[in-house]
Amino acid sequence: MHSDQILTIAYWVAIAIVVLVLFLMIYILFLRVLLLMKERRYRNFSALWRPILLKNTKKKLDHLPRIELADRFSYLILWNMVREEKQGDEKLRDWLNSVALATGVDRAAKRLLRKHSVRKKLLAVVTLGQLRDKSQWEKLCQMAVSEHALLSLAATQAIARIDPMAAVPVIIPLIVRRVDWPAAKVASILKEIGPDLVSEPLVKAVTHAPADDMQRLIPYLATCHDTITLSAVRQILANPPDDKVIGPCLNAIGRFRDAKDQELARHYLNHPRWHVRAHAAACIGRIGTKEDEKKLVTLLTDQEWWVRYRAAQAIVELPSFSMARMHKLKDELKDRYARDILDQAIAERRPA
Amino acid sequence: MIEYFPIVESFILIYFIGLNSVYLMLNILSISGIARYMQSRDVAGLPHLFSGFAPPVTIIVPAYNEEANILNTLHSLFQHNYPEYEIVVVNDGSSDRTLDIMKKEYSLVPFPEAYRARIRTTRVRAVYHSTVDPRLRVVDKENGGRGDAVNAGINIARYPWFCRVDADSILQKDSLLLLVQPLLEDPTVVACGGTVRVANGCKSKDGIFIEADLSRKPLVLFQIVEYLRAFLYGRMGWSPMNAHLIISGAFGIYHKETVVAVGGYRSDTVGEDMELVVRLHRVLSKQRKRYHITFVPEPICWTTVPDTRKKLKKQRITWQIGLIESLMMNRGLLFLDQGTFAGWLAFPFALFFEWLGPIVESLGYIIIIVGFFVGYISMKAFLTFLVLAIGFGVLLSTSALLLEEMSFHLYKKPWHIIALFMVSVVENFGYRQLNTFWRVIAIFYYFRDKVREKMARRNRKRLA
Repeated sequence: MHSDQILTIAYWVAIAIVVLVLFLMIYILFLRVLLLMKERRYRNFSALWRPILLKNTKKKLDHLPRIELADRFSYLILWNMVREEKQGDEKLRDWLNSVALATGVDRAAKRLLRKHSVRKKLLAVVTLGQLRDKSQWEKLCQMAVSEHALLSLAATQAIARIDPMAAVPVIIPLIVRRVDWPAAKVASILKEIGPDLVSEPLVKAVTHAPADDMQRLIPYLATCHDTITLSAVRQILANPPDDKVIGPCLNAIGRFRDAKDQELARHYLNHPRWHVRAHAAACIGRIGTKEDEKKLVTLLTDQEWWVRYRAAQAIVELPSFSMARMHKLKDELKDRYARDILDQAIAERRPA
Repeated sequence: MIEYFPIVESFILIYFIGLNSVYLMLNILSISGIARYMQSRDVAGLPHLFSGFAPPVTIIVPAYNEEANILNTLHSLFQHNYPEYEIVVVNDGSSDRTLDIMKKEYSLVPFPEAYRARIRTTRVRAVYHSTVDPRLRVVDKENGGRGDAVNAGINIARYPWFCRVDADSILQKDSLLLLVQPLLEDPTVVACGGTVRVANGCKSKDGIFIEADLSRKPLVLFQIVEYLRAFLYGRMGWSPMNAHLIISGAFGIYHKETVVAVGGYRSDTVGEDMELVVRLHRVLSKQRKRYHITFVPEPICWTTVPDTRKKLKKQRITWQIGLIESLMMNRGLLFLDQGTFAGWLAFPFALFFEWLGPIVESLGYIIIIVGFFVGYISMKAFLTFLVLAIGFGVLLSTSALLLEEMSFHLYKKPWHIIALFMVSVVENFGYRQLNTFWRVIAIFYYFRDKVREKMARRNRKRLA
C-alpha cells in the first residue's frame, strides 16, 4: 500500500478515535444521570415498601400501594431480601406470603422464569421456592439439571422447599452426579429436607456409588439419622471398595463415639496410606482407651507430619491424659520430631 | 540511516496495530464479562445463596517493618464477615517494632509449634499464639523477602485455602466472602485475585474501607485511571480465557496444596506474585490438569499507591523487572504444546507488548520526532501519529471509565467522573511517557545485573 494511502487511513482512524472518545464521555455522563435517577427511585420505593414488608405499618392487604412496572424487579429483590433476613420469623413469613399473593409476586416470578437472563431466572427460582409454589414444578426440575451450577443449585433448593418428598428422588441422583456443587450447600439442602426423608435414599445412593463419588458423598451421611449413618459407615468399612473411602468413614465413626468401633479404627492405624493412618489416629482420639496410647506413641515418629500431629492430638484426648503423664511420656521419647509434635498438642490443649 | 526509516516505521505500525487489536479484544471481552457479572450480582447477593458454605481460610500477612500499619491491618481483618478463618502474620525479620507492637496488643505468647517446613524458608525463630484472639498466630523469622515470608505462612497454615494480604491493604468487611465466590461456583479454581483500587484520598476507619474519594494529587489521580484500566479490562478480559498472568500481592486467594505442589513462592525475584501465577499456568497446563485462575471484578481491596515521583519510579522499575523475571523463569509456557490461551496468547502478549513494549514505544517517539525534524515525515503524518498514539491511550482509559460506570460506579460524586475523564486525557501527555522511560531503565537494569552476575560467576570459576 502506498504511504499516502496509509496516512489517509491513519488520519481517518485518528478522527474516528476522537469522535468515539467524545461519544463515550457523553454516554458515561448519560449513564451517571440514569443511575442517580434509578437510585433515587429505589430509595423512595424501599422507604415505602420495606416497612410494609416488615409489618411496621398498619396497612391492610387490600390497601397496599400499587407497584409500577419499572419497580417490579426491585420489589422482587426487596421481598426476597426481607424473606431471607427474617427466615426464622414464622408470623412474618405468613404476612410476607400474603403480601406476595396480594401484589402478584407469584405471577411476576413465573414471568421471569421464562426469561432468557440467568439473573431473572435465578430470582424467579428463589422466589417460587420461598412461596412453595408448585405450579412450575416441571420447569424447576429441568433447571435443577442445568449446566449452570448456581441456577441448578437454586432450583434444587426451590424444589426441596416446595415439596420435599417429591424432590428427594430428583435430588439424590443429582447429588451423586454433580461434582461441581459445593459440599456445604448440598449438605444444607439435605438438612433442610430432614433426615426422615433423606436417610434411606441417600444411604442407598452412597453405598452403591463408585469409589470416587463415595468418598465425596460419605460426609453427607451426617444429615441422616444417626443409627442409619453408623450402620452404613460400618458396612462400607467392613469391605471398603477403595482406600480413599476409609478416611471419611473413620471420620464419621469418630463423631458417634461408639466404643464398639474401637477395633475397627485400631485396625487402620498401621495402614500403608498416610491419610488413613491420620484419620484412624484422630478417630482413636475420640473413641480410644488408655490402652491405645502405646500404638499412638509409635505414630509420633511417622514420616508424615499429619499422622504425627493427629496421633499427638489423640494422645492428649485419651482418658489417660494428665500433665504429669505427658511429661513422663515426653521424657521417654527419643525422637525430636515426636517430642516437638507432642509439645504442640499439649500446648494446644492447655487453653481449653 | 534514513533508508532504514520505512522498515522501522512499518515495524512500529504493525506493532501499534497488534497492540491495539489485543486491547480492543480485551475491551470487548470485559464489557460482556462485566455485564454478565453484574447480572448475577444482585441475585447472588441474596443471603442464602452463598451463606454457610464458604471454605475455611488462612489469611497470611507478610510484614516487614510495618509498625505503622500492622495494628490497623489486624484490626480490619478481625472485623471480617466470614465464618471461619485464621490470621498468620509473618514478621520477616523487621528491624522496627512490628513484633513488639503485636506482642503487646494481642498478648502474644511463644508457642511450641512443630513447624513443618514443606517449603524451604529462612530460619523461623519462634511462633507466637495470641491469648486475646485464638485466631491469630505470628511467625517470627529471619528476613528472606516477601515470597519467603508467605511461604513460612503457608507452612503453618491450617486451612486448605490461604489468602495473601499486604499489611497496607484496606479491605471491606465482606472482601473475603466476595473473593471466595468463584471457588464456590467452580471447583477447578486454584487461585483467585481481588480487584485492587487506589486508597489514597478514600475514607477508611480502623483499616476498614468506608467511601471512595479522589485524591487531589495528580500523580495519584493518574494511577487511579491506570488501576481502572488494569483491572476492569486488563484482567477482566483475560479471565474468561483463563489466561491472566498476575494476581496482585495485595489481595488474592490460593489453594494451598496446589501452591505447595509447585514449590510455593520464589524468593529470588521481585515479582513473586506474578511469577507464582505464571508458574501455576505452566506447571498445571503441562500436567494437563483442569484448573482455573480467576478474579473478582468487584473492587474489594484498596491499596496505598506511591504519591511521589521517586517512590513511583522505584515501584515501576520493580514491577518491570518482576515482569521480565517472571516471564524468563517460566519461558516454557510460551507456545506450550498443551495449547492454552495463557501460553499462546497472554504470554506472547506480555513478552512482546509488556516487556518489549517500552523499547518499541520509545523508539516510535524518537523515530517520529527525528523523522519530522529531518524532514522525512510530513507535518500531517507527524500530527496524525500523535493523535493516533495519544487518542488510543485516551480511548482505552475512557472505555475503562465506561466499564466502571456500567458496573460499580464507586466514585459517587458527579465531579469525580468529570475529573477522571480529564485525567484520562492529561495522563497521555507526559505521565505515560515517563512510565515508559522508567520501564526502559528497568530493562537496562535487568540486563546490566544479568551481565554482572555472569561475570561474577565466570570470575568465581576462574578463581576456583
